[in-house]
Amino acid sequence: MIGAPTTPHARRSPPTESSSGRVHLWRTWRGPLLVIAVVLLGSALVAFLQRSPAVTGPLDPRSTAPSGAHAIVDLLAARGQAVSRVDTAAAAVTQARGSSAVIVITDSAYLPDTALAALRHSPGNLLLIAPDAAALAELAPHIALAGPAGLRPVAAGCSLPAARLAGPVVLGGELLRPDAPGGWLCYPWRSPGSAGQPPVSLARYASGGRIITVLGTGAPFTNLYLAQQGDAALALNLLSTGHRIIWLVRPPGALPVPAGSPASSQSLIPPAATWIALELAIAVLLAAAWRIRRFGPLVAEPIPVPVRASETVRGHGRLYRERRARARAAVVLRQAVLARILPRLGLPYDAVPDTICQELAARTQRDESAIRAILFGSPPAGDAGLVALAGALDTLEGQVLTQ
Amino acid sequence: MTLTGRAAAAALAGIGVILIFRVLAAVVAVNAAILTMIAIDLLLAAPVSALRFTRTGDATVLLGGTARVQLEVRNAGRRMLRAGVRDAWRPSAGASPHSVSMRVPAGGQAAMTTSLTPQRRGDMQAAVVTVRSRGPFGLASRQRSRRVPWTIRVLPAFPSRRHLPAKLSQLQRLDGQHRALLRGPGSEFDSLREYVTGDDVRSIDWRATARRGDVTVRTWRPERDRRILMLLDTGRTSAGRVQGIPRLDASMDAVLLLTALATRAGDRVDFLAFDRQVRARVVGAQRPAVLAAVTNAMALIEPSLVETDAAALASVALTTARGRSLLVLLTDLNPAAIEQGLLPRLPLLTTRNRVLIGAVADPAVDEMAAGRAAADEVYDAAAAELARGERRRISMILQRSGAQVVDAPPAKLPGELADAYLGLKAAGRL
Repeated sequence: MIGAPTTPHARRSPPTESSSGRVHLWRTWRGPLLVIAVVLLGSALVAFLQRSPAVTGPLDPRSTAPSGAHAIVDLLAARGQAVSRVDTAAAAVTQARGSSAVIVITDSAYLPDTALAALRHSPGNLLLIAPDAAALAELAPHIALAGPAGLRPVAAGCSLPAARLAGPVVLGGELLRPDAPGGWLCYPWRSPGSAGQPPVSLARYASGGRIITVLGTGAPFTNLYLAQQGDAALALNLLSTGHRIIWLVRPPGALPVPAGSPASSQSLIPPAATWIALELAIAVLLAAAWRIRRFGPLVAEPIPVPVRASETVRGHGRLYRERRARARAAVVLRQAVLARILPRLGLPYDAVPDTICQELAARTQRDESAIRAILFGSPPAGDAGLVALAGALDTLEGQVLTQ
Repeated sequence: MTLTGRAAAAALAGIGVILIFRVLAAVVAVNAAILTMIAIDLLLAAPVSALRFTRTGDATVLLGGTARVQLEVRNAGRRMLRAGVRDAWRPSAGASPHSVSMRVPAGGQAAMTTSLTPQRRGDMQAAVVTVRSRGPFGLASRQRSRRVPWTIRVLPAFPSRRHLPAKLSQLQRLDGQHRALLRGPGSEFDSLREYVTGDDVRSIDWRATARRGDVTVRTWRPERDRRILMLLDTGRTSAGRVQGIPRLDASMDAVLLLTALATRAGDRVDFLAFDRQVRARVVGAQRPAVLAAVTNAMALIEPSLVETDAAALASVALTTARGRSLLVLLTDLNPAAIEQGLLPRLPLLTTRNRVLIGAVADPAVDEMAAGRAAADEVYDAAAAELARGERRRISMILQRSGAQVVDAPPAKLPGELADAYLGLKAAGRL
C-alpha cells in the first residue's frame, strides 16, 4: 500500500491514477479539440464548395447579377466577337493595338488621371459608359454632363443606324450635352417648355481617326435591361465598331478616388470618437480596478491526496499485464479456486491432486482428465487461453458450490 | 480602498455626456466628477476600525450536517455603515452565503448568519471577516479584514448509527437468555431458584439444595462492567481510500457503533488512537459521556504517513487496559505490517485479554477478482485473488494466534464487529 498524505473526510474524490495523467489530459481536452476541428473542417468545406465570390462590379462580363454584363458578352461571343476583360487601363491600351478594337470603359470613376491620359492616346474606338466629368474632359472634351434622369424607354430621334434600327430603348442615368456640333446625338430628352438643344443619352462622333461613343447609362448592357425594348440591339450595334472588344472593368477592390485632395484615414474619424475612446478606456480601467481587489484574503485549505486502498493490487495487475505473466496468473487463479472448493469437498488443504480430481469427477460427473487439465494443467498458451481457463475455473467452481 | 462597479458605470454614462458636448472639456469634467465622487466616498465611508464584532452559534456539527454561526456587527462609529460583509472560512467548510450587504446606522447593530456544511472532519476555524464600507455615492469603498475567531469541531458522521436500535434489541434478547443457565467465565452469579424440568443439571447448586431440601439451581446474569479498549490504528495503512473514503473513517464508524453498544450493555469503554505515538486517548470516562468523548477525540485524528509501531502499541494497550479486557483493534490486514509488526506481539496481548481485530476490506478488489471480460481483466483478477488470498492467510494466522478477526467492507464492518462483540458477550467470553 502506498502511503500518501491523505486526510480523511467525506468528500468523495474521484480516484486518480498517477500514471494516467496524460489520459486524463486527453479526456479533458478532446471535447474542445473536437469542436475546434469540426469548426475548422466545416469552414474549410464551405470555403471550398462556395464558388469564389464573383468580382461583381457593375457591368462586369463575369457577373450574372442584374447589374452585370454576362448576357451581352455571351451574345457577342455567339456572334463571333471576342471579348477580353481587363481591369487596368494599361492592359486595355496594350490589347487595343492592332486592328479594329473597341475599348468599353464601364466605370471611369476609379480611373486615375494617368490611366485616362493613356486611354486618350490609345488606338481603337472608345465606348464610354456613364462617364464622370473627369473622364469626359479627358476622353470626350466636347461633351458635358447635363444632370441625371430616371430610366424609361426613349425613342432614337436621330439618324444613327445603330440607334434607329434598335427602336425605343430603356435609357436614363446621366444625360449628355454636346458643346460643339458634329457627330450623332441620339435619344433626346425633351422637356416641355424648354427650348434649344435637348440633352441626349447617346453621343457618337469621330475624332482623330477613332469613333468615340458616349452613353449616359450602362442599362442597355446589363443583364437586367438587355431583354427590354431595343436595349440588346442598341448594345450590340454600338459594339459593332470593332471586331475585338476590350472590356475595361473596375479592378477588384478599387474605390473611386474622390475628386478632392486624397483624405487621410484619420480625417475620416469624427473628433468626438477620440474622446469617447478615451472615456471607454477610463471605464475599462475603472472596471479593472473594481475587479482587481479580492473581497478579503484567500483562505488556504490543506488538500488531502486521495490514494485508493486498492492501488497496490491494481499495480500488481498491471505488472502481470506488462509481463504477460500467464503462468503466474493461472497458478494464482487455480489456487484461489482450490482454496474455495476444498472445504466444500471436505478435503484438507494439502490434499493431493489425484484425490481432488477423483472427488471432483465424482461430484460433477465430468471427465477426470478434463478436471485435471483445468486445475493442474500446463500454463495457458496465450491470453485467449488464460481467459478460457478463468472461465473454466468459474464453471467448475459454480458446479461445486451450487451442489 | 476599492472601487465598485458603479465607478465604471459612471464612466460609461460619461460617454453619453461627451457625445452631447463633443469637446475635450466634457471629458475633463466627466472624469473630474467621477474622481471627486470617489474621493468623497472614501472620505465619508464609515471606518471599519470602528466596528465591533461578536460571534455566537454552533461549536460542533456532525460531518454532513449544517452548523449556523451568527456574526453580530455593532457600529461604534459616527457614520452610517453601508457595507458588504464577508465571513470567510476554508473552502471545505462549505460556508454560505459568500457575503451579505448590510446597513448599520451609527450606534446600531446588525447580524449575519453563515451556514456551514463542512465536507471534512476536524476543527474548522473562521478565517477573517472582511468589510467593504461604501461611501454615500457607492463608487468607492474602504475595505479591511478583521479576525473574529470561532472554531467549529466537525465530528465523524457515525452513519452506522442506524444499526444501533437493532443491535440494542439483540442485546436485550441476550439479557433475557442469560437469565437462563448459560454460564461463561465472565458471567456473574445472579440468584438461586427452584429447579424446573429442562434446566441444565450442571447448574444445580448442591450446597443450596442441601440447605433448602429442594433442588435449587444457580442463575447467572450477563457479564457487566467488562472492560473494552478500542485501539484505532492511524498509521499509513489507514490512509488508503475504500469506496472514496479513507479506511480510518470507516474504522471510526465501527468504533462509534461498538462504543455506543458496549456502553449501553454496561461495559466500560476506553479508546486509544495510535501510530507511533498516542494520537487520541479517552480513558476512564464516565459511562454516559464515553460516546461523546470518543467522538470528540476522533474528530481531529488524521492518518499519519508512518508505519505503526506495533511493539509500542502493544505496550500502551497493556498499560492502558486495566485488568482483563476486550481489546478491539481497528487496523488493516496488510501482510507486511501484520507479520512483522503485530503478529510477534500478539501473544503478549492474548495471554490476559481477548483480542478482536476489525479490518476494512476493499470491495474494489472483489470486483477486480470477478473480471473476466478480457485478458487484461483476468490479469487484474489474478492480482486481486493473490491479494485476497494473502488477506485470508493473515486473517487465519491471526485467528490461530488467538485473535478474532472481522474483515468486512466499510458498509458492513460496524455491524459485523458489533455482532462479534454480541457473540462474545452471549458466550460469556468477555
